[in-house]
Amino acid sequence: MKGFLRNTMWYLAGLLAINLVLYQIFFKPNLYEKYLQSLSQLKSEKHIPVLVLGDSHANAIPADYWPNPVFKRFCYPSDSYFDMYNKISYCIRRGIQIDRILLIADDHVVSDYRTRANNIETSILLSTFRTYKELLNFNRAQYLYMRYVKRYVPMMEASNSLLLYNFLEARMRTREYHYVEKQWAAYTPQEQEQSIQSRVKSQYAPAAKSLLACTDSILSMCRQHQIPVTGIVYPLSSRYRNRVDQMDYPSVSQRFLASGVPVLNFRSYFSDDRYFFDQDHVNDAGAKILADSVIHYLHVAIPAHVE
Amino acid sequence: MLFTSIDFALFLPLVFVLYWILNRYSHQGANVLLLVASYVFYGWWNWRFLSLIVISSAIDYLIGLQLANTPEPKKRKVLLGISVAANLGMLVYFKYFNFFIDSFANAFTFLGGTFHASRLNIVLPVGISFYTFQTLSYTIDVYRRKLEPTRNPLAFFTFVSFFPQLVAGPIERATQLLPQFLTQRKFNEQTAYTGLRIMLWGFFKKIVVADNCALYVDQIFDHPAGFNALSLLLGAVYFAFQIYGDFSGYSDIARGTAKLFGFELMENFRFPYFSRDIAEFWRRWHISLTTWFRDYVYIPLGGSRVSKAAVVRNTFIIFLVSGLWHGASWTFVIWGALNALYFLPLILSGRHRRHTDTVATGRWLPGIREGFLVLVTFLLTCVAWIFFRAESVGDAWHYLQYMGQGNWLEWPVLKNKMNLILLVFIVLEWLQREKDHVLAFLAPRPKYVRWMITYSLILLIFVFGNFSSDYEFIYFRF
Repeated sequence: MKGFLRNTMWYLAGLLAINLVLYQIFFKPNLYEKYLQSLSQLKSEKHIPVLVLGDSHANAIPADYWPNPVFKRFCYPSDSYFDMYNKISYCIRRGIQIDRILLIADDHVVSDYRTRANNIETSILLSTFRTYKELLNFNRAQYLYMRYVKRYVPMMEASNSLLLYNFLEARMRTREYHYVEKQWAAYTPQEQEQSIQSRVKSQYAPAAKSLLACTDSILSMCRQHQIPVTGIVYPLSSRYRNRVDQMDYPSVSQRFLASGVPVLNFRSYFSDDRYFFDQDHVNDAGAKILADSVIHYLHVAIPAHVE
Repeated sequence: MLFTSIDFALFLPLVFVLYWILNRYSHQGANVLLLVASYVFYGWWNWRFLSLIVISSAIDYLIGLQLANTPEPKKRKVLLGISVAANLGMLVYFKYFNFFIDSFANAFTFLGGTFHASRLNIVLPVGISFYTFQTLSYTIDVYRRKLEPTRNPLAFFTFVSFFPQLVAGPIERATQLLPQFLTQRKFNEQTAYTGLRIMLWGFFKKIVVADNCALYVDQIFDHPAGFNALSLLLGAVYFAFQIYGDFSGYSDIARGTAKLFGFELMENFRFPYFSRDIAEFWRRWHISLTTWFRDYVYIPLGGSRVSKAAVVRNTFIIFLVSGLWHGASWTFVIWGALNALYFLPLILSGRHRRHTDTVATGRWLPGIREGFLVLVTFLLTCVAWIFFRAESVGDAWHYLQYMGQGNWLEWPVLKNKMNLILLVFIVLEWLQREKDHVLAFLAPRPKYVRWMITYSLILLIFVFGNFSSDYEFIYFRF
């Protein structure tokens, strides 16, 4: 029995070593690196005039289009309001002065799927147990699991499997094909309809109460620390907009307005498909116009020397 | 509790360590732990249905004792009847009531009458088909005086609810498993390693083979009209591997887990897709159920030592009942009937025991004839699986129609990932088909080879596995 237990322990130690290697060679550079880099950049910040927070819709506007250092974009695809809460509270804890937060006010961000598809395993690096306890009802074990086990023992987490598989598959494919990104305007009406159907299905699950509550927590935290917030609704292509308009879905922008938060509503800003990469993400041309418009509407004074 | 859950990954080592500590002092203490652990394992899913296991165990335990004290044949028959009625009554109530009432209503309507069926709003308790058959085997064996009834309720209750095989088998015989609970178990290091290897291969079958197949099977079976003939055939092939990977994967994990606790469970699958005829397939597929029906239904009906008409009747009875055992639907009945039709020519011509060895024993490859027979047998089972998988008989029929009317020269929609996985899986199973399990070849190898191969397998499961929670074990539904 002793021999069996000893061997099993050694075997598990070997498995742990494999996990650490996997973390170091794959998960750290692909999942955590950007967060860790942003985190180290954030640590050196003292003052952020405008902090841009959102998901892939905000991320579609390249960082270069936000004049640096006036704007600081800290967004990742699938970021949830909980991730954004973590970022703001981190800045507050570190005493970073924020003049304004440009916060996404798109409805799909409160969809229930965002309670599963989000970045809470990475934004935990910015957070504390107390936050996870208060907002997500985590106990200490769940918090420690997410913060350390899920990170350093990636094989414990099933969702990491798909991430690694997709990465390996993509790497194999890029060697075989030259992948050409197709813009929204190049889609046939049937292709657009198909894409919209699947997008609506994935993005508009019923709204999650926890995420709606999280928007309130963000606004109240900002109010408490006297940080002005401006909501922003990102543009949608006309066909997608028409489809979404048919749905009865809680409006995040209305919620913001009801709390006295101004909202820049760009939902119908572009009626031409050539400004879109897909049904709800702007392409480079759209991003440039959008960034300029936001700067204009926010009345942000950009010093002449700033890029 | 699912074998593929984190809960089980924590549960198993904890129970394992406590069990062997207790077993050092008394095997009864270890049995108490196993009983509690088994009830926790089952209650994790739905603790309310634990009462059914307790009731079923109590009835058969008490009837077993009564049978020991009752020499009169008539009274013995009554006691047996109570056990059968109680166990099958539970099964019928939870599993078949709605099916029978619907079928009756449909037949009534078909004959021009009106019948408003009031269905029961009930959930099927997980594993009920398995543990009721297991306890029934005990009472029948005691009735037949093949087994002395146990006077140890703890051992009996633990035998019925033993968690590795509680919810999806193998359906163990009391003659084989119950005595193991009555004696002191000894820890054997090599047996434990073997158990872990069998479990690992079971996880590979379930997570990599079955659950990946399930993704494509669902797509194809949900919209068969959108696929060409060869793709539909491929859909049936994928389902054949889905159900094999799923069910034999579960059996492997169960067998491996039992070994960790010093118990031997029966082998439930013996590389069934390498069979040369349907009779051989049924000697290799879900062996515990097949032999249960053989011993408790087929042979009491006279088996094959009766007139040809009676052989036909008996064959149909066991295959139809076997189909119905899988689920309360006509699709399963037709699946059973098809297998009976495949089986009949063999048994009527006395050729059903032609292939009792392993195909191409001692050779790398089968002969052309053997290969052809294996392929034909596999395709026949695939056709039957279409009925097993379809939501209704109409759906299965449409599937076959689309397949028959489609253009067979059109290339199928190939799923490269899936085909690669299946190819590797089939080759590995083929190479090890004469062994007890696929990873048996590791036992005599040096430690570093064993570790490297098992680590690689774990990595393969991690990278290629489908960890979606949408796919529970299929046989949980039965």
